[in-house]
Amino acid sequence: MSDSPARILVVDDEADTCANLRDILEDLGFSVDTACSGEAALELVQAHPYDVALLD
Amino acid sequence: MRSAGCFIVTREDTAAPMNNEQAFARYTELQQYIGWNSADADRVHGIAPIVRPHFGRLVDDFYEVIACFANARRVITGGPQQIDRLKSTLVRWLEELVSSTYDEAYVARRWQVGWRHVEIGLDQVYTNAALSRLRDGLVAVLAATGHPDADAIRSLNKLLDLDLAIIEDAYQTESRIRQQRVDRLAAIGQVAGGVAHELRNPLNVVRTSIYFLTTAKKLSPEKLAEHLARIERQVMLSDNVITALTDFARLPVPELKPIVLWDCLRETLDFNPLPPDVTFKLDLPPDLPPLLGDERQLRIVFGNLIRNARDAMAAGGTLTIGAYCAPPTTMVITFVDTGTGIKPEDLDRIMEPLYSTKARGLGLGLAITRSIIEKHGGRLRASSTVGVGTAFTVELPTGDPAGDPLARA
Repeated sequence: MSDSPARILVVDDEADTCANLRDILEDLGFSVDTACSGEAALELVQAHPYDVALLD
Repeated sequence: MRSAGCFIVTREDTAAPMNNEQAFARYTELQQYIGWNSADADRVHGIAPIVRPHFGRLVDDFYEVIACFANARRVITGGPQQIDRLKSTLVRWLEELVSSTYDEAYVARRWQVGWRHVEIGLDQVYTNAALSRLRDGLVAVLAATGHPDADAIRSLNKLLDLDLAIIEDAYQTESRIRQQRVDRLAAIGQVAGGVAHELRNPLNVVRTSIYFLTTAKKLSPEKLAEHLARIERQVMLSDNVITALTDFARLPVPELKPIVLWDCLRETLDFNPLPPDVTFKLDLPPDLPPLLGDERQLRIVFGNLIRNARDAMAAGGTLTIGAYCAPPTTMVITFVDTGTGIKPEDLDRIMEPLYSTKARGLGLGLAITRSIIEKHGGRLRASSTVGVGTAFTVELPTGDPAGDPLARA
């Protein structure tokens, strides 16, 4: 396991759901990006590496 | 895209079993159609003594055949006792067939017999086949006499056809009633499903917010405030779902008062802000008279129309709200968007309860909107071109500025 925190991508069409998951996961020490649509998610995935993606 | 039958409160129930008068009126009409007259009745009465001694045998045969066919047999659940009862009933039925005056009471009793067959769940084809067997048995008896009366046989056949028509009627009526019940249950099921779906989302957000607040290692005052506001908003959204449902099921009578259109629209826009990529245009003449309406309900109407326009313009666009007077007493308000448009086949149905082209939502918005407008004495119309946009036209009564508006209500 690397030293830097794992990168997680959270995808949900509800902005509030994304925000809550981000808060919970960041509090646990993860690095979190969120996307509210499939297109936005793909853009992020192409730009950054992620360890885990949580999809709705 | 979801669709559903009509919701409970708007469906007309037209299929209660016919009353006796109606049933007899139809029967008389059919008699004329078939060419039945009193001479036919006399002939049937005339052969009664010939066939009567055979009733017992014919009825036994009738039930022996039923016993051979599982689909017919399965509706008889009461064993030999029930069969004995049924046999007596059938003998009486035959007796009445050949000796009645074929009046309103006769038709009513025949209708009841038909209805009973439907109630016990006997497939109609078996009723028809069974009647055919009886007919065959009766005709065989008549044909076997020394001088078979061809005219009497014809009259008997006409009579049996008329009886068959009554039984058919009973089946069709029941079928219609049952279908309406199924449609209603489907609608209830769909509403329940929609409500469950719509409430689960806000409740889930509340739950995850509370989880965060109770387990967070670091919780700043700003984060706390953010989550509390979020929880409050989700509760409001849940409440809206419930309100939409109750609004639709039991729309209160509008309290009509003079309303300045722009004030009402502005308040509605405050509650339903448009995203930055939607341009808003207003086209109201300066001397617009007041509307006659219930302010709370009109805000629901305008809110629904504004939100629908906004949702149709996910990639941005223009919403234009305009109004003008159509004398003497009507105001026309138009909501025009440059959104995705509505397909012609959907346009007919979008105001139906539970019909929606959106993935989320109950599909009650336009049904409620139309209901409110119509209760105000107005009209709602929609026109659209796919890829260009949609226009909703609301007609509402105006308060007369010269006179006392409240005198109208």
